[in-house]
Amino acid sequence: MLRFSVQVLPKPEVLDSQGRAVETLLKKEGFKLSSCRVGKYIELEMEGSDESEALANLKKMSEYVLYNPLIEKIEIKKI
Amino acid sequence: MKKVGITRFLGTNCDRDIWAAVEDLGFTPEWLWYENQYDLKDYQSVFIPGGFSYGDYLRCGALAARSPVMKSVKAAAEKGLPVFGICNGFQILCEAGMLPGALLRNESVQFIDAWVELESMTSEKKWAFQDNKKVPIAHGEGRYFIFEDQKEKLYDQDQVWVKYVNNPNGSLDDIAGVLNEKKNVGGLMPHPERAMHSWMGSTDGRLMLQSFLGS
Repeated sequence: MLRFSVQVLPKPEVLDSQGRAVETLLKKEGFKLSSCRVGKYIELEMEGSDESEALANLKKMSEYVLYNPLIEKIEIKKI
Repeated sequence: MKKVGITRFLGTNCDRDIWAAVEDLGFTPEWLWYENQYDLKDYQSVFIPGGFSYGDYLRCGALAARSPVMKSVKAAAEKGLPVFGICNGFQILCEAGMLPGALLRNESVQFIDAWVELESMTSEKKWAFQDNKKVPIAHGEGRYFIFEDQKEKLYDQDQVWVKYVNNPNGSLDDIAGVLNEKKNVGGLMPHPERAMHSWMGSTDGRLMLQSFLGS
């Protein structure tokens, strides 16, 4: 069994209104930060033990539904 | 051909409103259940109503866009079937790649429930309207977005359908609705089916739906 994570974040050019709301609140409360963006974290368990095959499958799944390449970017990691 | 299909997903909640509107305009509505595939050649057109399909999980419309019924709708639309997506229906059509762009969380991060004024931008007879229309919106993720290079293409190809007179949600260029290249698929955040009778607050939505359905 292989485990992977997929992190999804809005592209830098896209206004992330959620991230901006969190950032504004934190700054208002006196926390020190320069920016904040809000995304999603997805964990998957893949069948088999061939890592490159699993990764290729995961890339296909990501393009199929896990993220919207128009507005989001992803980072896949083995965990 | 008076048969008009209305898709139903788990979480669709404007389905009965569209049903009533379609009946009211003299057409025969029929449900299209999300788990089934359909041969849509006998249908005059299809509506994708608003709501929260699949509970808005992952992204609004993302899962519904990949359901069996949408495979049928997409195939039929490629052959010219008119398709009208409202609110969540617009999100589904964008996610299905049937309309350009994406709908993001409102700039204010708040769900907005309000009456808006709409201006027609297209010259396409089926979709265009004369005077500005007063129709309600009710959405949390209705901020239209598309990258600059693709935006120019939208204008060049007369795909910008409707704009807000007063932008409620931060949509790019005040865009409230767009069309596909072939002009048989349209998506709109506002709800024309909620402006069918004067007791609803406006009858402007009726005119928009009438123009789409024809007679």
